[in-house]
Amino acid sequence: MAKKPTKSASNEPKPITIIVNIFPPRKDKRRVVVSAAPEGEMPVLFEGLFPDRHALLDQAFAAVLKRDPQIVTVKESTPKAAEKKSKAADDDDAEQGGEEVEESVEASDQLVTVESAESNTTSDEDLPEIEGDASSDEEAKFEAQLSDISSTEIETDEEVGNDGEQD
Amino acid sequence: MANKIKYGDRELDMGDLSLEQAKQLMARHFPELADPQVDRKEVKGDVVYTFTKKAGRKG
Repeated sequence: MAKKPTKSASNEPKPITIIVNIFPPRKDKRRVVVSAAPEGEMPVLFEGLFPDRHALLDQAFAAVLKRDPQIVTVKESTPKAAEKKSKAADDDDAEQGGEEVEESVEASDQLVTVESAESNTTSDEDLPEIEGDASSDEEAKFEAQLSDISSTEIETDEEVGNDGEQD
Repeated sequence: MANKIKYGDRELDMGDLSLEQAKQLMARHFPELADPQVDRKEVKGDVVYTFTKKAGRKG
């Protein structure tokens, strides 16, 4: 299976949100604040008077395009919260005896940077390729083992059925 | 003395925005900050408002 070239999500253009706040007039002058940012990034602010609102909008848009991405990375808030989560995870493991599960961030809708999202998930592209590692002899042995297992399972099923039928 | 907003690892100069106006602005750009927890600190003569998302309760 050929590997597909991975595309960095950070290179894809994101929609830019521009918010224009027009405040009530003070001393016969309206103040305008324009904030602009792509999704998940810290906005850039431009302030001015109402007559300059169009220029402010253009400046904000240009500033967002020119600047480097300002992606917000949110880390674990408090150590106490982290300890509580680890304890809860340990309790669950003790009951189930299952695998360890680490929670990366608080909620699924939490802002996640592209880097953290890529590091926490593994896709088929990240898995190593397996090319012809089994010889024909090993395959025959494997198939024989499979047939043995299936035959023993049938026997046990029949035994269980017989036990259930007995009064 | 400047007022700054901090969210995650990023900071933003508030300019003449009030705290309430800053909260509204951040809520519009970051929906998870609709009801933020804001901590006020003074750092090197500047006032830094640190926004964090409040932990929600599981239903």
